[in-house]
Amino acid sequence: MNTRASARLPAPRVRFGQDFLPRLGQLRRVLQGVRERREGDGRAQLSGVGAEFRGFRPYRPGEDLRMLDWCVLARTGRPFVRVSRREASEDWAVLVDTSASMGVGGPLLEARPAADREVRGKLQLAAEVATGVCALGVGEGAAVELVLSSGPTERLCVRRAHGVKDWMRRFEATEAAGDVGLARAVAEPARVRKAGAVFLIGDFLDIEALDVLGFQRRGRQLFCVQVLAPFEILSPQGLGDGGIEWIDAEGSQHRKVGLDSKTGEAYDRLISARLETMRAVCARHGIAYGVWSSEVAFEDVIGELFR
Amino acid sequence: MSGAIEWARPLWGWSLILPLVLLVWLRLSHRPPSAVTGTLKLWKQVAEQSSPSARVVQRGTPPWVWFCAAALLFGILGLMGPRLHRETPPRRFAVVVDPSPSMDLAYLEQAGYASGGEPTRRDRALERASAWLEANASDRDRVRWVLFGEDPVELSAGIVPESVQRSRRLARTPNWTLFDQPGTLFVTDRKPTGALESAGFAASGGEAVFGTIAVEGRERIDWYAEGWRTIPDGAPARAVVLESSFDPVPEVLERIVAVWADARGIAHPGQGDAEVVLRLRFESGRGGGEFDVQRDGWRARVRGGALEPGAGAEEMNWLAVRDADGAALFSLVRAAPGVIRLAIESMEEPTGDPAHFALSWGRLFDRWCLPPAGVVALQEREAAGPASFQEPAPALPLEPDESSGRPAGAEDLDAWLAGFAAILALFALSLRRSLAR
Repeated sequence: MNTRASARLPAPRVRFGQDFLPRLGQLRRVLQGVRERREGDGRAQLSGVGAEFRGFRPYRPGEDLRMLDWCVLARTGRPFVRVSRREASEDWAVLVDTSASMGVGGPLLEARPAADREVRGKLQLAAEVATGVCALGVGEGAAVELVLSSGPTERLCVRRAHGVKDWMRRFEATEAAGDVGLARAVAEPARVRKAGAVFLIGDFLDIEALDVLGFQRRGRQLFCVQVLAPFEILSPQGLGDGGIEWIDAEGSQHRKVGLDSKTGEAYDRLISARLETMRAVCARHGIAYGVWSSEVAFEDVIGELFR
Repeated sequence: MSGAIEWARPLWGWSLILPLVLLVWLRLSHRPPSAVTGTLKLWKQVAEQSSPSARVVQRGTPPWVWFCAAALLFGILGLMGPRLHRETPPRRFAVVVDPSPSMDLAYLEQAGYASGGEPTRRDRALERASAWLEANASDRDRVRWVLFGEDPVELSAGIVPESVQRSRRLARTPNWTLFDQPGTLFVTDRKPTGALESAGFAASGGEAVFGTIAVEGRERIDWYAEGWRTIPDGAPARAVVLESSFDPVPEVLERIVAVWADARGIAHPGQGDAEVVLRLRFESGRGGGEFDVQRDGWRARVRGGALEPGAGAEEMNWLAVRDADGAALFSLVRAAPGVIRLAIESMEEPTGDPAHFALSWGRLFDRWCLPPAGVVALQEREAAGPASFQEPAPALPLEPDESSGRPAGAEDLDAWLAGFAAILALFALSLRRSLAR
């Protein structure tokens, strides 16, 4: 094992594109429809202790018949669906890992990407997902608090839709750096004591699966969004037998490793075991969990979370 | 200086950066790619658990590349035109020492009389010449010392012949142009007149040295600061000596010697502490006989034999027995400074004008009679000017048969390097092909 100066991160900063907010608005509309369709069946991910009645809407062919309000049907003879709004999620907390390892992503090798292609690091996706959660939470009437593992220390709590831009600016002022990741949040679960929904977004590489259980509270929904670079999820292929020098994002260590098929398989086994452990722990304790590549669109992640 | 390498085209040396660039470029191109990751811990586990091949991550520069770079290197070296100089061959220097009497004078920085303890002008000039030889001649070089009045002597550099200090009172400043050769250094007191093309000189310089400049009969002429003065009866006691291996010496000659000596104020025969300025040495010649000899208008019949040449290069034949064609058969009289050797046992009265006979012998005696000690001509005593030095052209190497060492010269290495570069390049190509299969 050798050491050298700190690695130069390929994507340490967050930059929201001009199409982000329109995409976010469209996502909200899509999810709202899905949510409205699912509110009644009790399968909503954000199931709190109660639901606020908001009214009725006509039944659409193909919808689950269990969503029908049978009393209205009996009175009016027309099918209507009861639309409600969850009441227990007024306070949400989004904890985002901003350690240096979140600056990883983009093309594997040092070759510069094409000028028209932006390097998407893990922090970029984490920020987009967190902002999407914020927008959805505010839309649900919740107060959404952002907690970064490093960077700006003052708390940011958004209650209205226009606060989402403050949220975005906070991310754009943040840079992936240091070695303080979700482990710090895990050590201080009391910071988000009142939150009815807690979103942990990061690469989860500095904590173990059982560590997230510290956030569990009665009536709280816990979401774990694990973001990894593509070459962290699967060992890189097609690099020949010349090997690769891996550089630690959060330290000064580096290691040259040969990349034959056996080595790649060994890595894949290790990372798969780690992810499977995480998945099993979360499933066992009712924690929403998913792992995504930093290359995916944030809509896919949020759509998966709130389906 | 042995084995030194010189470059005929050194500018090609800049191209030496090419193989370096090639190696660096290949080194960089073969360096494994690097990537920043957050899963280094996992990769560490992989490397520690996996086969050794997984740990071998950086393959060295392919061997054919090394051969290629070496070929390039040798090719460039060949283009630079290296010349391997073998040992510098021994050279021959020459030191020609001015034999003129002025060299015996004291070296004075101000005109005056010598007190007796000063170094001579010769000493000063030799000192300068020796310093130059020490700096420029190696132990393998030879130095030829040309000392007038004796045969040249060749010594190793750093050795000065003892006879260099011998006074040659009758000698004159030589014609330097006869010795104008590369590596030749004149040791003199006055800067040589005329342009020297190859030779150099070490001139001591020195101010005027007052003293006796001539002896005329019984008078002595002294030069001093204000001029010169004649001192009647001031001439030092001088003598001419007749030495003979047989008795009596020819009366005719004894008589002419006496007349000449009386005219010059020289005692005959030598008396007391008189300084012998001329010796007439009668010897028995080889193959004696009677011969008719003639010179300067006189003719005489003599009994004598062939006179063997004596030691010393200055000795000259003065009277010889000649054949009908006038060619000299052998010498009867030979003369050197201060000494006249005669292989004449008897001589009849010469025929012809007696004055011619007396004048002829008188000139002989005058020519070879030594001046008394301390008597130096005025032109010799005058100031020699400032000290000066001129380095000679580089000495020439000895002829191959004179030097026992290897032949001198430079050996071109271009062809060797080019050939070696070609072999390396071919080897690199074949190696690359075999690796590609």
